[in-house]
Amino acid sequence: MNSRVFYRRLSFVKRATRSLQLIALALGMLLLFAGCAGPFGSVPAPLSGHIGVDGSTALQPLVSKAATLFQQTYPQVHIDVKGGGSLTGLKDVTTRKVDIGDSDIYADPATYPDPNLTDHLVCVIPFTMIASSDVPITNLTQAELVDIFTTGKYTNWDQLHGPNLRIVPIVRPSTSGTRATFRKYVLGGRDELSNLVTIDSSQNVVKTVAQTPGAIGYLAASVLDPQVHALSIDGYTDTLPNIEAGHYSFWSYEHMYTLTDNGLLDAFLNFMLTSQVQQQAFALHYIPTSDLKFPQLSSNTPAAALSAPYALVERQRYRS
Amino acid sequence: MSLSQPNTFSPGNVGKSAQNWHPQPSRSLRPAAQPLYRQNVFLNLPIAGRLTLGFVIAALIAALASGVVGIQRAQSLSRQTDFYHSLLQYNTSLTTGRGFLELMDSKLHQTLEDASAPNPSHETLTADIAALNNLATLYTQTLNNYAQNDLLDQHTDQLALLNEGGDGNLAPQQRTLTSSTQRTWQFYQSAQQEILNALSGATISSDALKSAQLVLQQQGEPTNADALSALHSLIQLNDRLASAVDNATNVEVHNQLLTTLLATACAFLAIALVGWFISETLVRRLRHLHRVTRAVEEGRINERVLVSGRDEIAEVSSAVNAMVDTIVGLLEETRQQRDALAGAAEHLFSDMRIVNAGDLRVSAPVGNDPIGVLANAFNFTVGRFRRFILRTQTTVEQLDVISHQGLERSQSFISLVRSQLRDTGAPHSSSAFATAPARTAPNTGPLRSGLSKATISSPASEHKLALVQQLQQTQDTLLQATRDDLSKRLTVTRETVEKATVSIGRLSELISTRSGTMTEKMVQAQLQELVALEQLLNRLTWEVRQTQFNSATNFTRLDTAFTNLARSVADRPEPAAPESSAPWPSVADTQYQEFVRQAGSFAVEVHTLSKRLTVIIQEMRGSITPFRLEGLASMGEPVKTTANLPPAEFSQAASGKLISNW
Repeated sequence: MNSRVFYRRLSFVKRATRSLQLIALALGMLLLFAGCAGPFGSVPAPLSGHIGVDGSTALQPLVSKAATLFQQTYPQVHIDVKGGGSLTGLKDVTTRKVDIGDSDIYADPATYPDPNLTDHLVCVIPFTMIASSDVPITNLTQAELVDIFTTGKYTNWDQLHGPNLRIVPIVRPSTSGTRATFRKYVLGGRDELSNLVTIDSSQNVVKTVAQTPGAIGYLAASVLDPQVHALSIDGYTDTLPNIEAGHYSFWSYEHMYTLTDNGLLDAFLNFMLTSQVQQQAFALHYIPTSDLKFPQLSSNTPAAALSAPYALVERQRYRS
Repeated sequence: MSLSQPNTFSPGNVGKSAQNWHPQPSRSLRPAAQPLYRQNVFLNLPIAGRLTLGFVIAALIAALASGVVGIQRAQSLSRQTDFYHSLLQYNTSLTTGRGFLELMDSKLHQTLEDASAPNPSHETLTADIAALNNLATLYTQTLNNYAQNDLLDQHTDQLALLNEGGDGNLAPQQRTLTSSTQRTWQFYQSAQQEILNALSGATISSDALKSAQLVLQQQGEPTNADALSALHSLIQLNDRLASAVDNATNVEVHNQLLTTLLATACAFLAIALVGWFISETLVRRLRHLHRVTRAVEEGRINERVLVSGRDEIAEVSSAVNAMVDTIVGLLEETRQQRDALAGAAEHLFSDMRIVNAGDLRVSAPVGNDPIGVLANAFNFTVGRFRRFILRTQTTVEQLDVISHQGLERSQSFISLVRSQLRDTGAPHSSSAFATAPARTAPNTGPLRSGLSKATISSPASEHKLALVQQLQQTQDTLLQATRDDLSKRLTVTRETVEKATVSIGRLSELISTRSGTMTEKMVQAQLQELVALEQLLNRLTWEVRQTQFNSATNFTRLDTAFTNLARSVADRPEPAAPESSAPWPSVADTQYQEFVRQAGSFAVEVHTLSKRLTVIIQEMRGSITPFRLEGLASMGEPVKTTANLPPAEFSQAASGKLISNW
């Protein structure tokens, strides 16, 4: 009887061992699968490194703010944001001096033929005409602006029903994207007068205009300051509805051009488009790209229906 | 213990097994069928069908798992392929659009060149303008088509794919880039339109030409560059989309791997579950069956298999139940038989005790079982014994009667002699003779006293003295025969009978305790007892025979003595007469003749008495003769001949032999 009990116990142990082996085999297979899955499921290494940014002073406040936020999230990352102007940014990014070149203007494929130069539109920046506080005028037409900046027809504010005060146009250097935009969309491609006061950054434009009696200048809405007052163009201010409707054309997309592609840059550029940064952009008087409605193209009614600034100016000119 | 040595019977084992086999009163013989499982429809299927079903389910699960994985993979591949196809389409259309833009730029310059020729061909100009308008319309259509149909927002599956790869922000970028392209196109188109308007007149003034050239230079070329740049960015987006799709593919591959893993695990578990379920429907009941059979094996015969379902195992379980029922019935029957046997043995034993107490009138009930056979043998033995005792008793009574007769004869003889003596005148010796036997008579019994009186009755003559001596001798012989030897023999016989009774008692006790389990050993033990009993009976027979022999010898001697006495009495009447007449010459001749006649008749009486004794002894010998013959032949034989026989046959054979022996 005892021997039989022992045998049964033995057989039980044997059975248990066999089922354990089976379970171990199954677990081993699962682990094998998990091991295969491992490389795909690996978490990316924490971001670290350095990003150099320069270019548009109009975009600089937003990029600086975004860089601060980004470095708070990723302390290993250091982002160096500088100004210098849109063309400087384009030039530096194509010569690989910086990783990201901020620009208010498009990179001309003829000037920057590198096919790897990639455009990242981060927001829309409205530009606005400003005047010193002693100039009571709040609206100028596009033709009046052409005459002030290009032809030199108006030199005193009393010619424009203002006080007897010399008009001091303040302009930006040739590296400025704001200036290029101003020329393209306000002056109709014309050159500015060559003897005008040139200020190297948008921030300095505010100070200079505020301190100079009778000064008129242009800058990005992001750096607009209460020391100066904004002028509407053709009766339209730089509001989103006016831009969408096509009444106000002195605005530009803000570009961040890159030449190379890596995870850190992607992360930062994607971060620029997050709602966090876009809300900051809205607070800084930029227009988030998501807010801007789509312009509808029509092949039947081309330029005539639109407020083509150059055509308007030319027509007025030839009429006069 | 019982498994290794099944044939050993220790009292403890016997008691334990007997206890185990007793039905336990707390449980009914057949427990109520409790459902071992909840009613399981699978248990109604045959095992083969159940296994087939299990395999089919397992195969279905495996097929389902692999199907899910495969469908997921196919869907993923299809989405990727669609996306890449769309990307190719976008790229082609946008590249075509860039071709339009570049063509427009060169065509615009060519138009201005044609217009600034000395004599511009109106027809050429019209064709140029028409071509430019056509190109503008085509480019507008391309952009509109892209904006309306090719945006990611309109393709939710593509958007979903991008979101999987974490590149969902490409959709707003695409939207922004598209609007940027459209805006730059608007500006370039307006500039182009301005130039064309300036050139569209019938005659082209130099001012208009100048203006057109100015516009082209100041406005057309920069906006064209912007438009190209914006379009270039839009085209570049396709690259990023492609890499995003690649990312999404990686993520999807990973997801598919996870899904495969999950599906494998699920399928494994599900199949294992199915297998466990199927095996449980088999193994659990088989274990239960095994448990029950082991319980029955260990003696708990009340255990029954709970039959559930209608499959093969249920059939086997039912069969096992029926088998155990049958076995239990057989056991019950055996137990009843054993009880009956034990009762019979008990009855036999009580009978033996009665015999032991001395009552030989019992007759044990006789049946078909071994106890009945024993009882039969017992009855036979007791009958024989009773008859023997009766014969002996009769013999003793006859002897007593004879002795009484002898006493009476001798008394009358003595009184005759005494009267004769009184007549002759010797009173002193008569009184002395009369008082002396009177003192000894109470101790020696009537025979001796009679004889002593008879023997001492001759006072003087030598003949009479010799006769007296002879009579004294005869008396002594008779005394010895009756008192010493016979009593001793009878004592021995009684002891032997007591031993036989004790042996029978043991035998009956053995039968009463073991009668339920009539196995070979028990029967052997019984047989040994029986053999011992037989030996005792043989000895008893021998003793009785010896007694007979001795009594016969004694009686023969007595007979001889009486014959001698008679002869001496008969042979010497002549010397006796003168001798008797000599001391008592005064005695009358009639008296003497009377004495002689009396003595002669006494001698004749004694002679006939001894003859009758001889007849009686012959009769006794005749009645005892069968004992002697068969008793010697049966000594020790049964043990040798029946040792190797199985119990049943053995008991039959032994009983038959015993009967034939007795």
